Amino acid sequence: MLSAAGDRADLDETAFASLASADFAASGQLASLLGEDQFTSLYHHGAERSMFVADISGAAILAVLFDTRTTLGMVRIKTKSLCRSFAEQRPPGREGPSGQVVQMESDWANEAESEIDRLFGE
Amino acid sequence: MSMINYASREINCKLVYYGPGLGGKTTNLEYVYNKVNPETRGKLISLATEQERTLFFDFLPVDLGSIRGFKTRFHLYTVPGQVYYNASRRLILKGVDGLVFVADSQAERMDANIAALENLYENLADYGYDRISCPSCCSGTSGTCPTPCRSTNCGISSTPWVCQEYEAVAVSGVGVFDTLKAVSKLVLKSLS
Repeated sequence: MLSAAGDRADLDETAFASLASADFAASGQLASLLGEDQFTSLYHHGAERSMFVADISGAAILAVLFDTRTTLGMVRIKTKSLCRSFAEQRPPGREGPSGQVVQMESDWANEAESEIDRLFGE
Repeated sequence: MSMINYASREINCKLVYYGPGLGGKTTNLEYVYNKVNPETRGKLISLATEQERTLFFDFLPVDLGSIRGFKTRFHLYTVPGQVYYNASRRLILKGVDGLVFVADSQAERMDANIAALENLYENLADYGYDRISCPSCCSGTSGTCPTPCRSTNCGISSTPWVCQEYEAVAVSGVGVFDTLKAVSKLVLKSLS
């Protein structure tokens, strides 16, 4: 998950991000079965809360959760300009602030290995 | 490829458990879920059928903590083993950083092991991933066989698979953490 904002006190964000990305990936495969390149957005309608997911230039997805105080149409309008704005920014990957591909220091790997032994030691 | 988020100083690595159906992939994750400190792991999500066969994937996030200022997290996934769910398997492989191939040690499942491995090669190739350079471990395991088994005895030694090998029994947990530790270290080494 890249980032989250808003009122999300009761939300397991990691689980949500994993399921939302899988949902969107599955919809991409459905699109290709129908001869489409990609479905650019998804909408799930609930009684109290709904969810709108939109593609950001194939590099990330934006998931918007909303309740009955707004409408899908309003969410779509706001999301469109937001996606355009996000698309102009470089998505995070294995690149540092100056754009070079970053390797972590060997000390970092050694420390990480110790943590793995501690965490996964029975 | 591991995602390093400099803004939030996070590293997320994706580990995928792959293998033939009923080989013990989900059982591996359930064992990890039950044994690691609850404060370091998230919810185990299983998208399964009513018969408890994996339909899409299982997912378990495990937090390694902060290492030199970077919050490091492993995302453990399984794939559905049944042959007709290949589209789902291919989706789960997207962005994989490390692989655990869970081979079934029962003699009658040797062909299934080889078919699953060949299917893995094909799906990795679809994404342009190099199976040789992808950090990989293999564990010979079975949900019904109580005896640890070397994966070379599971029919895959005849294939050009390059990986570290572990004897395992998923139900009792033998070798589960050895395999997870090994693949985790390989993935982190690939970052440095």
